[in-house]
Amino acid sequence: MKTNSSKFNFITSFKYFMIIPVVMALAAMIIGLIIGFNFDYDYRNVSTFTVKFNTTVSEEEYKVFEDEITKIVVRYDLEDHRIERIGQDAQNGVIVRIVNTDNALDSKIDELKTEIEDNLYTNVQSKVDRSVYISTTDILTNTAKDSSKMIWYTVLAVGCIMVLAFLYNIIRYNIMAGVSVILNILLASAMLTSANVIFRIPLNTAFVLAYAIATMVCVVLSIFVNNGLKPTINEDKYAKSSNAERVYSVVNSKFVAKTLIYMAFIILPLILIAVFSTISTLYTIISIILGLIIAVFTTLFFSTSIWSFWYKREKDIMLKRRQEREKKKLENKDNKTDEKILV
Amino acid sequence: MKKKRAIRNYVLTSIFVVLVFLLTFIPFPVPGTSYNFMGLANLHLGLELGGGVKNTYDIEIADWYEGTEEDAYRETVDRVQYLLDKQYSDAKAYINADKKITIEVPDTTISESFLIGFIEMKSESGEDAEAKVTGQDIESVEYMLSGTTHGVYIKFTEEGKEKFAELTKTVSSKDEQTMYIYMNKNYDQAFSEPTVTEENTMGYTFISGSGITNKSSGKAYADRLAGTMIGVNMTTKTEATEVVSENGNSVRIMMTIVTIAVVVAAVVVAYVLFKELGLVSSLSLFFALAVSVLVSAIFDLQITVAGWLGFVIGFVFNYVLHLYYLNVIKREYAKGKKFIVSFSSGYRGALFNMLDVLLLTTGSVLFLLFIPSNLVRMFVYNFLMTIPGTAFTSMFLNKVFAVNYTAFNLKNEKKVNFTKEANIDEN
Repeated sequence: MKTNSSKFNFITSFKYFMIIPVVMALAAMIIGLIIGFNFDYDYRNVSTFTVKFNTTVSEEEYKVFEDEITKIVVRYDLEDHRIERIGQDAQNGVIVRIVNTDNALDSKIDELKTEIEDNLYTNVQSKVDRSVYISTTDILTNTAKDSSKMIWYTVLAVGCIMVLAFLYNIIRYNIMAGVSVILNILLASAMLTSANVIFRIPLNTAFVLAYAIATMVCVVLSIFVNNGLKPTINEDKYAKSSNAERVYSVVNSKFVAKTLIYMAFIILPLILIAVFSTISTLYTIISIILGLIIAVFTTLFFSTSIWSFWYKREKDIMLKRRQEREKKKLENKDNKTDEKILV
Repeated sequence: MKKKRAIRNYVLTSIFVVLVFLLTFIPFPVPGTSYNFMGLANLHLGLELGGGVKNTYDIEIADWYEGTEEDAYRETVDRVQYLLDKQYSDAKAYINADKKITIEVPDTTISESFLIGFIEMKSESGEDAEAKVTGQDIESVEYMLSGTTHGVYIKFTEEGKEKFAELTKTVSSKDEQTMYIYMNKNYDQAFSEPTVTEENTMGYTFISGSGITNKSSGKAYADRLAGTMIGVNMTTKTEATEVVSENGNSVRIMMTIVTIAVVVAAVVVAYVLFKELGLVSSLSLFFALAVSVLVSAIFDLQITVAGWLGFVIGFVFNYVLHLYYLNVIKREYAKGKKFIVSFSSGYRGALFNMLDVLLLTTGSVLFLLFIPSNLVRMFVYNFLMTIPGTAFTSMFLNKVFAVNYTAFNLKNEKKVNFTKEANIDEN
């Protein structure tokens, strides 16, 4: 029988891989307790105004204007701010966002806006080739959105997905498959939350996407794993293999390589988009990429290990059934022989 | 004979796929109708990519409103967002710190139908006439089809029942028998002027006419009236101003380039793994791609970053299923089966697994609609939009192409990267 003992079987290294989520959870707890969650601008009071250039400016000029605006904002002691490019051609400009908790900075932001409108072009005139007319829009202060609503609806949606996946897997495969999917999603969600806390990724209204995509990847990968693993329970060629070897015969390095290629099809485009997008979109994309990596990790190293543990139980049941069948066969044979003798 | 049939099938299906693919690029008028099919040209950009307009509204709260001021603002924003979501996949309504509500839409104007107003039912026209029935007197509003007449069913509260009876009694006794329904305190022009011929003491009424000609106009009318039950009136003195896109031109260009790159990379990887069979499979993938774009154009899903992500994940998902089928065939062939036999036996095994994945992912994605977020909704809609194409191509078209192509075109297993590891007697 061909075994995979010569190759590196990552299923046997379960305990080592599980150090990663444990360490992540501990680190997240410590960081979370000390600093708390990092909420993005969607969940904070933010004052916004747009600085319009009213003419098409070159890339270098854009940079000059951006740098000068940043300088002015910093001079006004408004540390928690973002300056992002918007629009195109003659409609281009930058959007200035400033965290304005309890509207305490209203007057300061007003002054800042006037300063930019009056002095921005004068300050950089020597560095730009064309005449630029600077105008600003009214200041708009958004109130912080309620994050709890979003969090609870996300929990509800992920919970429903877990129930669906659990029931489907039980009907289609066995209890083990259902349990493995649920545990897989739970671990992935916990790891993603830990990663968000550890890396201080600000949670915005789009953070839900990262959890949603991670959950979907867990469900899809689990189906492929379950489909491959289930038939091996009844295959005689695995009778003498260890549980880990049996699982590795399906979820082997080839499977891992294919999974990574497919993930690359999603992750690489995301990285490219992140480079050109706004800061909020960038944070969302980082969170999604982390979610994808974590979902693959938990499915390959955690979900498969549950199968590996469960095999022993399945194996024992199969063995017991086989013994009973053989015993019955033997009994029937004995009975028939007696009847023959009687005849 | 079999070979001839395979060639015919392959050529016909290929022509069909190429035609559908071309349809995504070429606009044309649909013969016999006034409908112009636009294909890709009908794809509209969402707020974050294409910009739009915004306006800020003052809020007046009715005396009879029972909740807190905060409740009134929250209810109004939720209601406006609900109305916006019916027309746009990427529009926003939010509360400002200066107790105003801002609406942003990926359009050139903001329609009044998105605004919440006070409803006033009067027996006389004009501002000075007494409002006999207001929003507090209405219990529910819904669209209803009575026989062949489309209309809106309004149920009144106990107090409203008395008031409406009084109003209809007064109106029916007058010569012109016209009731005036005002919205948004616009007294120059009534929102609706239904005719009342008799006193109504039933506690409900059915309004037809008033521009209600079909189900959608009836539902829009009901939505508008339902908003008046909140007890809030939105007004503005300013014109809508332009909103420039936040994720601008560069993201839009990048999204296009990346989408093309993903498709090209998918074809290259398929070719590396399965050579000619990979290319044939890509034809089926192109068909799915075209179907997704057409569905998006027909339903006018505005393009957003989250929506694009749903589309890309849907495409990759379909790609995985395509290659999965080819892998299963490869395994069957390795066991020693003939080409054609391995296609059929592999299909039987792969079909249920593909169905598992399709059913579970579709179900899972639908649950995400619980989440009250435009981003998530766009992601879900765009992902779901790929599902019909994925189901059809991964479970059917991919096999049709593979079987018909190999039937006349393959004698060498190396051409498809297959290897036989065992030989079985198929007799």
